[in-house]
Amino acid sequence: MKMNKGVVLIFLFLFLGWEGKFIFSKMLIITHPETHVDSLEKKEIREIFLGRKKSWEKNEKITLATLKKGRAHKQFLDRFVNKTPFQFRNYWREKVFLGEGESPKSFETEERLINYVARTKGAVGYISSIKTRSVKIIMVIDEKEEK
Amino acid sequence: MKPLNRIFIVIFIAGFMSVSAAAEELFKVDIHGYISQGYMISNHNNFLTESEKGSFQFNELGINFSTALTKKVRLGIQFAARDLGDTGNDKVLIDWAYADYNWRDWLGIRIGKMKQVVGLYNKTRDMDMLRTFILLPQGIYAENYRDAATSVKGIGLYGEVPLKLMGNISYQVLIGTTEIYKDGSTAKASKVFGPFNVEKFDVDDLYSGSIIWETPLKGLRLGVTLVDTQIKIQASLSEDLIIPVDFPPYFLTVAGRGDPVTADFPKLTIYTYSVEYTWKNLVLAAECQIMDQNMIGKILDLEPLEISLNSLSYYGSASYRFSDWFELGVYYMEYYKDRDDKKGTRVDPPYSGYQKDACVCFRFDLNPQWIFKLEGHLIDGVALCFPQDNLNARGIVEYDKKWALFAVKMTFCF
Repeated sequence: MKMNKGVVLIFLFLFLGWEGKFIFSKMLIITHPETHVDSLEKKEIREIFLGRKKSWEKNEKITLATLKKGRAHKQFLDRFVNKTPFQFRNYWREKVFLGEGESPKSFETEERLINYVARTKGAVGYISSIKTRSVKIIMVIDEKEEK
Repeated sequence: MKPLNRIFIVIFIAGFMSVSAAAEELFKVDIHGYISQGYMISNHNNFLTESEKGSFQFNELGINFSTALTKKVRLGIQFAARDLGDTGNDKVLIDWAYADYNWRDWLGIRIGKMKQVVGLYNKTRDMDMLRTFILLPQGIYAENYRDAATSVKGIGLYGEVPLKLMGNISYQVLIGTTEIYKDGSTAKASKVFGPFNVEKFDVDDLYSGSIIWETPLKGLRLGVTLVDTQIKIQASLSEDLIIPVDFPPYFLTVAGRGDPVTADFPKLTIYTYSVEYTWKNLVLAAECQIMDQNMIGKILDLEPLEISLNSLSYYGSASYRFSDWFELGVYYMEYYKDRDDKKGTRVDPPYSGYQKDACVCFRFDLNPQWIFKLEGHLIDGVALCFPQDNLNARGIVEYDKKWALFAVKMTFCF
């Protein structure tokens, strides 16, 4: 019986440990200040980060900025792109290895991501909290408010 | 290297040089590549390699260069080489090389050599790091015909069409031709039709189309792909053709070694239906492929021989990623050479008419660049084994019905 409990615990760890629900706090979508867009639907954000929507209105090229890892990265992909970080990396690897696209610029920290978005026309990224006024904030998601 | 390939290389090098000279800062050339080395061993039957003895002739490598010339135009090329048993032999070929004009999100055009679309995974089958398994289900992604299924040279249209509440459609249409090499795996596979050496493949127009619908149900996508082409093979007999007769000397040589043989495939159509469901770290997939082909073989002035081959294959797979470094995958596949004769009653031995494969694979991502995989297969039937690789000491084809295959592969990509 003890063995059975052990097995159950291992399975709970494996399936829930990695799949446990996140507690969403803030997730901000940011763009370069001169980007001609003020709001984005959730579906549009997915299309953008999957490279399916490649330009803003007025034909401005979209440049993607992502985090390399971390909780905010995982939350963003889960919430908006419906992919795990591994699936997202492989998705872009496929595009790159088939010559179909250029992988998003990725950053170790949110500060570096913000700096990049602030100085790159057409850039879009995401952060977990407001830290600057140098970028345009497109949409603030608060899961608790939505519920 | 063929003259056409040389032209491709010159055009692309010139393109890249002009880009770098024109605007060093604006355009950067992305360089990516991969190299993988595998090993496979089987307890019976040689499969793809001399697997009964164990074989390291199981590797692939590729390097690609791509750049954005303008906001809407991309240019890229990939060189690739592979070795699988006695095919490939690490000869460097252009895997893909094309110019891409993305006019709108819903319509882009590509010209050059593009990856062929068959099912969900054919485009990426060279890239071991993108999938769970070492060997994709062979009934659909047969290594036996890989050189024929890799690329299309011609023109392609593609796009993404958002359907608002109904999800999203991705489509790709390719029109062109494909290069099949006389020393490739397809040439080797062609020898199942008779004792001949392939001298040349002529592929007439090839049409290929793919539609993938990302449904409103989160994680569910459905796809259908179609390939339609005609192939002509020019070959020569590799041994005398002798037939029994009712009068002395009882055997008659009707054609000699070296005599020309032609094999026309006026119809070769492949339909592939796909479904994939992703929920968090779980990916479930199932695909079904129907291939219809007619072959008319002709030797000298003898009566032409007409053969119809209507094959069927399907599989179901599941993979789960337990952590950043570990993934487990399983699949079960069935392949029938003739879907109207699933028990193989028209072939000898009957189990050469089908192949059923249960596979389990363990994937370890040592880091994002290094991937190590272990894979085991329990197989019933030998329909996808080459007869010429399974000759006994007397030169007679000999198989074992039930067998096991084990493969290991290490991949590095950047």
